[in-house]
Amino acid sequence: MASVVINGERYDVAEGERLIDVCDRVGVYIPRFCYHPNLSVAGNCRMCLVEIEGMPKLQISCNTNVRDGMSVLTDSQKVKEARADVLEFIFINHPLDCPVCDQAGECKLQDYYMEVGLYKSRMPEEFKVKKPRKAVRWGSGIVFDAERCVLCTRCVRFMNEVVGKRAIAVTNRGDHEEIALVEPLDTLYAGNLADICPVGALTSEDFRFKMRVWFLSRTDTVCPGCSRGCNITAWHKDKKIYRFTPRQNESVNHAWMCDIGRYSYKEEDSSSLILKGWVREDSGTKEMGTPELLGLLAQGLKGLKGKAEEAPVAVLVAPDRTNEEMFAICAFMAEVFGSSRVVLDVPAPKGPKDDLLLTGEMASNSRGLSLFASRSAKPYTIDAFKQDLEAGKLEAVMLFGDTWEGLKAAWPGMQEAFKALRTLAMFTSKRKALFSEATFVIPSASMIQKDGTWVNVTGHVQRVRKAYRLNQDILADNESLGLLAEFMGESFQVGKLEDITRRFLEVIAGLSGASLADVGLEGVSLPSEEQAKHLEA
Amino acid sequence: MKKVIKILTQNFDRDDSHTLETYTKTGGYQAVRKVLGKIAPESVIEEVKRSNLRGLGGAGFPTGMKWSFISKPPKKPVYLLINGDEGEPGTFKDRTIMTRDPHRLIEGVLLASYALGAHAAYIYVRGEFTFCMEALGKAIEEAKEAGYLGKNILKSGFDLDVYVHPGAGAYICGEETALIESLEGKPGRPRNKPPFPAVVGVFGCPTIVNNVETIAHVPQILLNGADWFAKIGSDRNGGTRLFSVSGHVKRPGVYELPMGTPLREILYEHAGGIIGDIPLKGVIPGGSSAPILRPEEIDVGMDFDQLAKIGSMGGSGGIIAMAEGTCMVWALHNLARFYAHESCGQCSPCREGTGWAEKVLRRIEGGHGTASDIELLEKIAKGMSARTICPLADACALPILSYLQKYRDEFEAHVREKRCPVRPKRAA
Amino acid sequence: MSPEVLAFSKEAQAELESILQAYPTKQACLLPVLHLVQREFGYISDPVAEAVAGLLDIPLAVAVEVLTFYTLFARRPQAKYVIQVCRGLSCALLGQEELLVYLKNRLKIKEGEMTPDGLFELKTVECLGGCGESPVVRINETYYELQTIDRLGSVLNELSKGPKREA
Repeated sequence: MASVVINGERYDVAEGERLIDVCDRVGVYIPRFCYHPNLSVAGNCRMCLVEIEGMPKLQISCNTNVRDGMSVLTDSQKVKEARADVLEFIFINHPLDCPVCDQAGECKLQDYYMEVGLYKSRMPEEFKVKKPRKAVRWGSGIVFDAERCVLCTRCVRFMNEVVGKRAIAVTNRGDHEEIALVEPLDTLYAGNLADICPVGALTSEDFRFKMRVWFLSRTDTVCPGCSRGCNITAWHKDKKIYRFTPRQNESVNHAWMCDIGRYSYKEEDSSSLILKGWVREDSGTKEMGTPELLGLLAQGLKGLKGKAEEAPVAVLVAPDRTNEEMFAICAFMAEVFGSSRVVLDVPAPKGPKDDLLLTGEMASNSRGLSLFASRSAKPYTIDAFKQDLEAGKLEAVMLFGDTWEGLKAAWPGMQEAFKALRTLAMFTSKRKALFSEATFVIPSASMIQKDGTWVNVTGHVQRVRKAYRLNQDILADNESLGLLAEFMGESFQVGKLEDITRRFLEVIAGLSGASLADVGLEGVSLPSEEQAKHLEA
Repeated sequence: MKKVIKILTQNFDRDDSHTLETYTKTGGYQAVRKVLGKIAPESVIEEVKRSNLRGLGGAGFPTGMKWSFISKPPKKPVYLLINGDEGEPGTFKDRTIMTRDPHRLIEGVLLASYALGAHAAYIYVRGEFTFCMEALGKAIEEAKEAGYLGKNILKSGFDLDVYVHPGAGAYICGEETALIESLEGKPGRPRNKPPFPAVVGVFGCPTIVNNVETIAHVPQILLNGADWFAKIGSDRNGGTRLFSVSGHVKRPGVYELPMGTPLREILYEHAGGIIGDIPLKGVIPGGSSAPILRPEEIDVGMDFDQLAKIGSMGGSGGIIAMAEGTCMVWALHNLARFYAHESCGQCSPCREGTGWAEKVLRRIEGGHGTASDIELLEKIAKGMSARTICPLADACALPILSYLQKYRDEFEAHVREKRCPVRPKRAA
Repeated sequence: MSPEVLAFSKEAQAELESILQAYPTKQACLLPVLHLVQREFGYISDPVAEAVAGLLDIPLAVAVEVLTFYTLFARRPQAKYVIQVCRGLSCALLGQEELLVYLKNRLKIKEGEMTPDGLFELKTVECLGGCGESPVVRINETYYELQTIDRLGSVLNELSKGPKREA
């Protein structure tokens, strides 16, 4: 432990920690362009200069490790002057094109200018170093603008250190220095370049000019792309998502996300989602509101109660449902039908896998489902379901979720087999996930329309957050099951979301009393012995 | 004229000064015989410390102290790098050692490597100096054949290989961490410190970087003793140094003189005074980065400390004299253009500041400046001072501030008269 | 083993071997190898740069950074004689500007240009470290010191006599 004094306040920190990280943690403001906590220190922008007692020159806080007894000033006159000077240097060859620059609103240059600058340019336009490469498509969704670049080299370091491919070079020297693409980016992580670029030099081709960022609301949630569960922010306006960007979480994704996850926001567009449900009748399909639909479904299901020793009903849960939805589904089946016919081992589709983030398991909650299944004495497997279906033991099947590609791949005859059913009810969000055999379609809330938790590949429980609900017919599965039970005249109550989370955490990890609030923004890792037990299983 | 003491240039008047034969005949490789395997490396470092030998590339850092930063025993191989990337405008002394007495340098490299425990040394020569690389290459071959390099040198059990590494046209590689980067096959962009090269240098190993002239002094120091060397120079500035004298002097050239020799003596006795016997207008005492001196300041003793005391610096020992009739705005613009061209581009204040200063000076010199440009220039210079990884920005800022201070009226006249009042009709 | 584009002479091949032995990493060989390649081929074309990167097992980006950072590497064909006029302060104090005007007029080209016959190319360069014998002009690798218009004129006369381009 070391004790440092920053602007007169004493803080206990770990000896050797970077000063800039300490300042960030305790909320002391330090401007920067080149420093990024997940990249090596470049020390080139010189914005993070601070005054350290006993040192005649200002020091960059990104390359300063704290020592016990260090005394630091971050807001002295000397520091403020240095920042203003450095900023002016960075500005002199920079175009004043904020009105047409897509970075506006999230540009560090713009922010710092508002804060320390507001001076008139002392560099006549004709004296500026000309860097004519504008709006160059770099491929992989990245657009480059040379004259806006401040040469912080974050992009160069990201490619070298995180992706492991030296695609970007720093060419020339002095004020003619420029970054240049030497080889194709050719990576599933290119989108991060636009995120880490502190200015408008690298922007996202997908997001460019679609929306000024200050009009957007933000919801912190988790990427649905694969079982890594990268922490993300969903940017939205008027019930429309404009982009996903990664949120830093050292236990999960550092500061990155892959492009598959990044562009998966498009699947949240209302045009891709089921907005109103329907029922198949002899004359064709008939759209209706969700309460009416659930009422119809309830009538059918009621008749199946007590029809055999075990009611001819089974449920398949896709590996994208929240833990809370899964918990409610299992509870519904147990209490209403006294049945354990809930399949929790629907396989996730296979996808790209690497050493960085992509797990190859393209579903968000396989781990949550399998952990829960492993707590059951006799889990109902997909094989058991198949046998029951083939043996004619089932009349109604309910499918919850969107992620069926893995199951379809493993069981090519599945849809054909479903044709034998009297009732196939799909609680689904995405149009593309629907089966033509469905007799009931109940619009289920997509990830951006509901609250709950997922467990990622390493056993980290994380919160999914609702940004909005597109309409009143769309319900999370735990909500629709409550209604369904009510229409069936059952006394079963789903309970409040927080209670389900608490009970779920108790069951899978023995975390008694843990709540949604405990899961928080960064999630909680399940106890390691529990993980070990799971791995054995 | 005072008593002449020649250490580095003692053989320069001979045509065959560069040969092994001449060097050994005049006491060469005697220090190696005296030291290798007979005197402990720690004692060698101690001796060099006591000699007050300073880094003669420009920084003037005490050489023995620098050597003592290598921790013993080293956990990784130690490297010695010799800085022959001579490029500071007004400096042309290291090339004379490399071409006219390369064995003196090689013996120095051998002794320093022994003291440091280094078994590989690289002499980094500026890319344009192909003639130096050839001379060194030949001398290294000669030394190898004579058993002064290679395995088990003089049966001492000490091994050393020396290589010549070519630069490729970048002044910044004279900065020691840029030199390290360049040697590793990268652009010469200086490194953040810490870590210092003595801890993590070239190839991730402990490294010492010394200037050619500094190392060439080592054989005579170890042969004649630290006291002998220290006594030749001035207080805390041991021995002699090579002063490169150029500009408006009658006899430009390299002069080996004791540390602390007055600048006036160098200019008017050794270099023969100003061409045409016209008055001196200003003189740069230690390479282009050194703040300029006015004629009334030239009685200063030429060592690191005395020059620092009057606000300038010893630097590389490059003296550029400028006679009356020289436009100081033009001269400063020449220097600013150099630094703008040589900035590595890494730190924003230097990358942008040197180029900006050059443009403002161009404007003033061309008669297009305004009164606010003079203030702006001062602000740019201060803005880039002491805020960067390496001292290149300071090397540009120091002359700017000193010219502005000492010849301000000339800058003002340019702005007022909207032309150069000193040389109104110079070549375009 | 050099790829096709790096077809070296026997001497150059030997030099390459000794360069490769002088450093503990392959990347450290980059500057000396680029010099060697430039001497062999006159300049460093993009395919040659790629081949060097391959030879030294380094990413192309590193080679590009190095090629564009240092001033002595040429990335396009050069004239037979590259005239480098030192514009350092000491040379400027002693008539460099007049030399440059003379050269521009005589060769009828501007800085950075080449004569149509490919014989001369005119450049200004920063301090060449020959300040004791200012003004200095470097032509290819040779220093011509204490230059005057007359002396430089005779040098150019001499150089103009030879064949326009090396065979």
